[in-house]
Amino acid sequence: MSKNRARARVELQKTVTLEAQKLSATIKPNAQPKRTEKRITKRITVAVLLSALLGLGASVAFWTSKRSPSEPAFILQGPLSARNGCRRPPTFFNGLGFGRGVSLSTAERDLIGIAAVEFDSNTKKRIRYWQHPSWSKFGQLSAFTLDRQGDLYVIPAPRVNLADNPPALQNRLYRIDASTGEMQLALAFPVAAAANARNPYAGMALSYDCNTHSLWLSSVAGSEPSRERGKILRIQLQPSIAVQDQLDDFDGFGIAAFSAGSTLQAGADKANQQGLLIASARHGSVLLQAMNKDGSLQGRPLTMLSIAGLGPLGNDRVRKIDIGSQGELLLHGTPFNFNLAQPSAQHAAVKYRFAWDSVTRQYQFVDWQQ
Amino acid sequence: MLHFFRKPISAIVLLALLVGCKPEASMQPADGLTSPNPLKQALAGQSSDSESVLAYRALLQASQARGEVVFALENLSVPAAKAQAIALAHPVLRERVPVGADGVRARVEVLSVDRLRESDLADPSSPHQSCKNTECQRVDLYDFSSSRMLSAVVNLQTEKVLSWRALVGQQPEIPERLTRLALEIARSSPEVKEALGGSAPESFEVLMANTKTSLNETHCERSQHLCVAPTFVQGNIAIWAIVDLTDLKLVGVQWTEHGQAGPLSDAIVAVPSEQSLSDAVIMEKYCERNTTLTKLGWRLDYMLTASDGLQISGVRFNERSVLTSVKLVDWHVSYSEREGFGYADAVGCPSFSSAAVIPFQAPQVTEIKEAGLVVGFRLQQEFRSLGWPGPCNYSYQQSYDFYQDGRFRPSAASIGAGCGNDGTYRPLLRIEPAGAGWAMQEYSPIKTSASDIGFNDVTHERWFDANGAVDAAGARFTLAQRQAGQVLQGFKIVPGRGQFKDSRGDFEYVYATAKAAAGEGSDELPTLGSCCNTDYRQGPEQFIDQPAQALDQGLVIWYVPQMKNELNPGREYCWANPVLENGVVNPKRYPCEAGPMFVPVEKKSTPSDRVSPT
Repeated sequence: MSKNRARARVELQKTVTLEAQKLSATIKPNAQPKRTEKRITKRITVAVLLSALLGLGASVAFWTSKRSPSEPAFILQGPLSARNGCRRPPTFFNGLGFGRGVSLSTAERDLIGIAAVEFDSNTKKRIRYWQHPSWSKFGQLSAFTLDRQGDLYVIPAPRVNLADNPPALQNRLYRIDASTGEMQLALAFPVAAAANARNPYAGMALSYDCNTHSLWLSSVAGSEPSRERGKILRIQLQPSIAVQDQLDDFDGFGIAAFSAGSTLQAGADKANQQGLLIASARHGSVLLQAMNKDGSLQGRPLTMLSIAGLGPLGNDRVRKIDIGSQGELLLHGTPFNFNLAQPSAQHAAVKYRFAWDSVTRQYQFVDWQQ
Repeated sequence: MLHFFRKPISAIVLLALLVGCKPEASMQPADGLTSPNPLKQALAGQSSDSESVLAYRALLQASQARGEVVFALENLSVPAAKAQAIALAHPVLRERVPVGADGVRARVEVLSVDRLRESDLADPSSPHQSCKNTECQRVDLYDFSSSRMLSAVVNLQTEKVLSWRALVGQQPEIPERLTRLALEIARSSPEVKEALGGSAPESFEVLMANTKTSLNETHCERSQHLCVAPTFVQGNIAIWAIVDLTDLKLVGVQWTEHGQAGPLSDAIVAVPSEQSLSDAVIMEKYCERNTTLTKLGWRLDYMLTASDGLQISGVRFNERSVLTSVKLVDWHVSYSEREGFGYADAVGCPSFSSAAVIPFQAPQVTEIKEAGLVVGFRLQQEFRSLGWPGPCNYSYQQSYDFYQDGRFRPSAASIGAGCGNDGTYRPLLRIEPAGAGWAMQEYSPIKTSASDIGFNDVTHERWFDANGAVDAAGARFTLAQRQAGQVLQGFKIVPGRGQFKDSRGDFEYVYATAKAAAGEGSDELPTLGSCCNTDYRQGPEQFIDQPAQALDQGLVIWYVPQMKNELNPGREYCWANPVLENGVVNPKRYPCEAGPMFVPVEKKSTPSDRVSPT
């Protein structure tokens, strides 16, 4: 029985945030939050009260207080569906002679920038790589994404040291042309303050939204220990590459646009929900951010779930969010503390699975894998 | 009372009833920002084992003295006791539980014995299919030496062990005896007493009666030890203590006064752990402000930087300014058998920094003794990668030794464990003497006249090749400060030539540069130079102007020693190995340390800047 104790406790915590959100979401405008509503089950009571011990009770008040009376509640009507399924591979791969196992990587320890790499399926060793001459000119790179035309977008981030990544040049978005493979500066995105020795990061994650043909970018540039100054940016790709909307004072990490209710639950009474999943760079939470049909942001993000306490270290952040075909969430965790310490080889990337529970209408933790 | 432990949720419900039901009005801040309700954290200091820990250690020793491989559970039901006996008699245990060089076997304890569940038999390929018809029990053991759980399934009818399974990274169930011990360790600690406002419960029973108590899980990410988190709520204080069950000690305490609705705090959204607690304390105490240290005639400030290690500043000896600052700008690590392979690592604060290797505990101040007498003190900071001493994970140590006779020595040490046996470590020390009027001289063994004492003036910026000659007293350079024709103070700079502990010699490059404006190290320096140059091009040479500036308006000394690692048994250097000792695995450390000793010289009333040893 006790083998599941850890999971049970953690699930309890997950419930805390979900229920906390639900509570705050159901509060009527200008109403006092009623934590003693009869509909609160014993489990919820335990969870909310446990949260008081852990300090999470404060989060109930926080999100409640942050909500302006005019902001609509956001309760998921069904599992999420991804909005990046239209991405296409670039054509510059054609003629390079790679096999089917070719992929793009910014994590090769011996290479700067981005590279097309191919690994032997048996030995798992790299057997080939290729870089356009422009791919190593801008220092170490990190997150990247394709769009529906095969153009590739990538952001820089320092690795181990700042030798190849001067802080002043970190708020950059680069574009790799789908046909020529040439990499060029696409945008110097806005930051609250430039990256520096105390916070050498700017862009953290990048994802593509097919519905609006735009990029979502999370940045922590300018943030300080006691002050979140990061931004979530929506970057339109046509007619020109430019920031179209932004959420300020939030340090985001993994990010993914979603739809809910319409794709997987056709006919649902509250279909066509859409929004962003945004992971916090400061803790293990993943938040929901509502958006309008045109991609503009609506209100402030609400905590949806957390991986705090899960995994081999219990202290990961979600650096990447994948939404599966059945709406399941695969969260890629990594230690992150606003420094250049690298996760050790013993702590390989951890993936956390959450699945939609149609009974509770919430995402529930399933397992983690290394 | 013991039932309470088995039902931590019950305890939480009760305590939550106390803490969760505050007036609703308090949850509605007027301005949406609420007044902060900061958490308080404390890392455990050095303390001797409590009576309960000593008693537990005695039980462990007695078990080993009886020849038992595993410390068994007592007061089990008859079937559970039988299953435990069968599992512990299995020969695989004696084979797999190692004995250390000290003769002490790895500490392995039985944590639980439970009847096998239906769900364990769902897989038709399971080797436990015989358990469908007969009673089987699962015996869970924890190997504290390797931080893994061992799980045996025992068929009680056939009296055989059906399987063994090892699980790493799993949080096991904690038995009652360890639960009680964890609570006792927490209760008896000064840190929990402080959190309770100094009114420590006199006994375990009083603690249990007066607080709502539960045992939660946590992680010790750095030590990889088995840790738990006893939590207590007494009055309006909620305390989260982290207890290391491998070392049987308190790691630290985080507490808060609840009853106030505060903004979502970073620290409390995550489950408190060894690392989060340590980082929070170090950030608050050592990254955001200076700490002043006054001892044996010395006075200095120290703080952790974002990328330049532990910096000391405003250093005075007997009221005289000696140093503006000293810091460790970078570590260059290169591997000779792989061209261009290596790392440039910065050390600094655990978060909001550009450090690749971060502190795992607060700076330490210890006494330096000679012949049993205190002659000085050492200020020291150790930095570690999370996976140290695993391959390609590093531990660096930065130290400042100060002696009551005016000597001082900044140094840097590597404690491995790099990516191979061909590694060379080059720490970049930046030393800025206080004020202007300094004159530097370099020793030369070639004498030009009978009166030549062997030291030649260094008047302009330049670098000095590795391993230069030293005089009979071991000095390679002298440094003297003059004002109005008078020598205020002077030092001989004595590099390591094997005379210092943990040193085979410094093989140092030295650079003298004029004190410059920002960008040359007076503020945070980003990565300086390449990791893998094997000559003088370690980075400081870029601050030597063309033409070279004069040094008379203030100078900076850059000291870049070179330490080559060695892994040969008995000759290890710049290395660390995990060894089984006293039942648990700890790293055996083989540091290599380098840094110059500054030896004060007596003032002479000659017009010359030259000085002679005291």
